Amino acid sequence: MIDVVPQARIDVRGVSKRYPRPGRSGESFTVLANISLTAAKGEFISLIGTSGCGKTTLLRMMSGLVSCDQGSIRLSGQLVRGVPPSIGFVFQESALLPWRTVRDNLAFALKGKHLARGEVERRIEDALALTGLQEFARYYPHMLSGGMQQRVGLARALVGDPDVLFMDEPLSALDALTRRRLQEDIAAIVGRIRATTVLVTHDVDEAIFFSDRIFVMGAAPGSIREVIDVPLPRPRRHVDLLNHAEVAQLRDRVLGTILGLV
Amino acid sequence: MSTTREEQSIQDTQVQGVAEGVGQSPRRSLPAAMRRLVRSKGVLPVVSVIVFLGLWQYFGSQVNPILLATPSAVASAFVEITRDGTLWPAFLRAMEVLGLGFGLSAVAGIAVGVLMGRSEAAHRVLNPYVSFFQSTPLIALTPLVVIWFGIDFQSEVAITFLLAVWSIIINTQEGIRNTPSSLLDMARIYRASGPSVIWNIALPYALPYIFAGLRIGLAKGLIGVIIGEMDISLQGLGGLIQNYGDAFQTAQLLAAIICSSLVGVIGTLILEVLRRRIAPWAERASVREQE
Repeated sequence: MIDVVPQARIDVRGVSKRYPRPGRSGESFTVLANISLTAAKGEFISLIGTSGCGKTTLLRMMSGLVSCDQGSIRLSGQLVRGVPPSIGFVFQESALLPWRTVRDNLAFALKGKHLARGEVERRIEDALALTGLQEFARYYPHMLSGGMQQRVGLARALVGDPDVLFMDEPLSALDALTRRRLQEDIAAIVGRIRATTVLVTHDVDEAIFFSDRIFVMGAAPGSIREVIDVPLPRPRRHVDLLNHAEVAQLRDRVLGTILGLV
Repeated sequence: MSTTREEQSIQDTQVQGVAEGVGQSPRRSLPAAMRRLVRSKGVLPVVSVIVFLGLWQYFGSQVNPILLATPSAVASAFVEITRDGTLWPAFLRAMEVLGLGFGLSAVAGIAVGVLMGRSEAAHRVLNPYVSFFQSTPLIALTPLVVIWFGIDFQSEVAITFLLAVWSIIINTQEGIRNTPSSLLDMARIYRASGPSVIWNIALPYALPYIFAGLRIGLAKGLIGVIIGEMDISLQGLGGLIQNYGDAFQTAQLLAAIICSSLVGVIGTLILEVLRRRIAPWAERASVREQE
């Protein structure tokens, strides 16, 4: 049913994950059942669904933080066993080191690569410029607003020039206005560097705003209910999507699938 | 011209404001100045201490000086034993024992705490002993320590170490174990090595806990210093306390006790200065301290 694309950036096949139920019954609870998906280089996909559908677990499995019970995941053709090299991850709660400046937080992400000093400096400068953070290089996280901190998280995810960018509800902790602003900035940045991106979100509009394809997931057991294409050009701006007929249709379709009405 | 009541009260306030600023009308400004003084933060503690000293002085002078020496007697005893060269060497010795004993316990305590915090295996192996010693009244080990280390300085350092180290281990371990999983996940994503995680993430995160443990360890260690000196070598401040106590020289005794408190205060101040320099991002009040 799914074409195996040999050059797929992301290739998830038949992946399942079970957790033991609490208590001694030995029963297990299936979080994900037989998930398969692919994403091409430069594609932006979203995983969306209600709580408990396993979207975050799937993201963590794709990034190597969690292992699969069954099936396989490949990034750029390499089997994922543990955290693969060269990925970026933007966390919901920024996960910045409070005792390091913005600049040093970015440097931390480059430690594992053993680059020359000059190269490290250059990459940090590039990432700061890309995310509009040059002025804030010497600031500490607590001096920055939530939106700025997420921006730093994104800069850190990009500083290592990742093969795949993972984002786990990066904007849900922010207020609506900041979220909209950041959505446009992130879309522009991701568009510029053509990063292959996987976004987990519970916000339908956000999924439509960012993605080339949306994977709508359902719970019990966690599975992909539908894959919806968003054939609009990227990067998008909110003003372009306002009152857009096709967007309204997509919205109904995604929401309908989530709610099980379609 | 007539003014409304409101305008009159505004004028009064303005006059009073000017008076306070310029000091032209002492009768008006005195109550205001006193009100400000009363409201300022330092007043109540100072007043409380003054009242306490006053009561102590009064009741102390009614009572047998062996039972309770008055503050004035203690103050002059303090001066006397400083002048005759008794107090200063004793104070220094206590500081030395504390410095060495506590210093060693800090190094060992933090190291073991980190190990037990990071390694589940280490935790399981070592925890029974840590729990045991944490609950034991360690002063009871004094005779054993004397048998091992002799009747002198080394024994007191050992006792100080033994009293202080467990709180440091436990609090350090707690801090390390509480490192947020989001930071640890982030470290895995960006492929930080094990030592890098300890040095850059777990240890900085645990610093408020570590300092809480150090504060407790310092207090317990000081107990070890004094009791060690009282029971083992009869030197230093503990020695003075024991000797003045035996001789019923209560004023000198209280002076020596106050001096030993000073050792604790100085130690705590040093820790606080260190904390501000090393972990400025940590707020003192937010850490739950474990005794």
